[in-house]
Amino acid sequence: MTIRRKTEPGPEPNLPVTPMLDMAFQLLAFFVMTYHPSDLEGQMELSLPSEAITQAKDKEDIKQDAQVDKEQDLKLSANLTVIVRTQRDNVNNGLISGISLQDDAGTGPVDTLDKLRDELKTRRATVENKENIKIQADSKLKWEEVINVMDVCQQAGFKNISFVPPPSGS
Amino acid sequence: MSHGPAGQGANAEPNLTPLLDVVLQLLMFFMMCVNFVSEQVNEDIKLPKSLAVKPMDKAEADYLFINLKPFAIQDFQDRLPSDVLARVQANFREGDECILVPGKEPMRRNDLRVWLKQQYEDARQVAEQRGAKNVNTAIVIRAHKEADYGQVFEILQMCKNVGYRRLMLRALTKNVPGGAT
Repeated sequence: MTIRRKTEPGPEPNLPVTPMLDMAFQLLAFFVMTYHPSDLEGQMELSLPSEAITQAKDKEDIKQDAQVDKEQDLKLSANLTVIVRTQRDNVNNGLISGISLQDDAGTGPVDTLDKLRDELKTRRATVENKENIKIQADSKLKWEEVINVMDVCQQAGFKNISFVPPPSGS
Repeated sequence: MSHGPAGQGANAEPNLTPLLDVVLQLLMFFMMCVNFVSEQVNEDIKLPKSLAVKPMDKAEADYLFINLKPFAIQDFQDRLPSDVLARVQANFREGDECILVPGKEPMRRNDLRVWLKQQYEDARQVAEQRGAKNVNTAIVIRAHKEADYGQVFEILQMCKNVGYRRLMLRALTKNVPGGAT
């Protein structure tokens, strides 16, 4: 067999590479052009009140007014509440118009998000619950701004952020 | 060359095979990097950027997506059949709260509640059949950055009241100049 092959080579297989390459280039160009390396999407998990508390509450409050239920939900026990206000006027359309920080003693205004971060850091040293914080925003506040406030809280060291229902009429 | 019969002259054809190899490799790379716009993730939604988000856990598959954005008719213009589009147009005005879930027409909050309850009930039955105690579905909320806090809060509240225990918010990762804090 081998001797025969050496003396008499068969027809060489001819693979047409060029059309395949053309097609591959076309596809490549398409994918290069449609390639948009966008920002990566990530997620954050919300901390809900622990299961035991909720179940106990469900049993007791099952027939109670829905409003009461609403007040209790999505809240963790926390010492600090960041209150964010907005106005749907033409000036700040859903942007932050005022921030204040509420603790057990009372409420104090904060000027900017940067100041809020510093304030939260100092307060965190003294409060009892160093993990949880609540955010109460006006109903019309843009979601983007809420995320900014959440970022500030996270930077200050609060890991669990919970939401308080927006004040009625906001 | 060595195989060619003598007297035919040099074969000047370039060797395309390595080139093709490289091209196919590149092709493979770009094909894999393309973000396949899956039905669940609505690309019209511009998510807010956040420093606090964590990368997604790809291993987990039990997600339910809820997309929220202010209504804009151009999002649906070429994507829905004309009868559905007319219905949607009659129901929504520009800027209204509009909830999108995979495989359903744009919804309002009340429709979402009904749908969520149904989904939860189905999931509970499946969980019972498997012998699991709780529904482990995670709700992923993708809210447009222009959406109102009140709307997002209501949806969170609704999911919680229906019985879901795991709620997640989606945002884009923000790059901090000078490294992460």
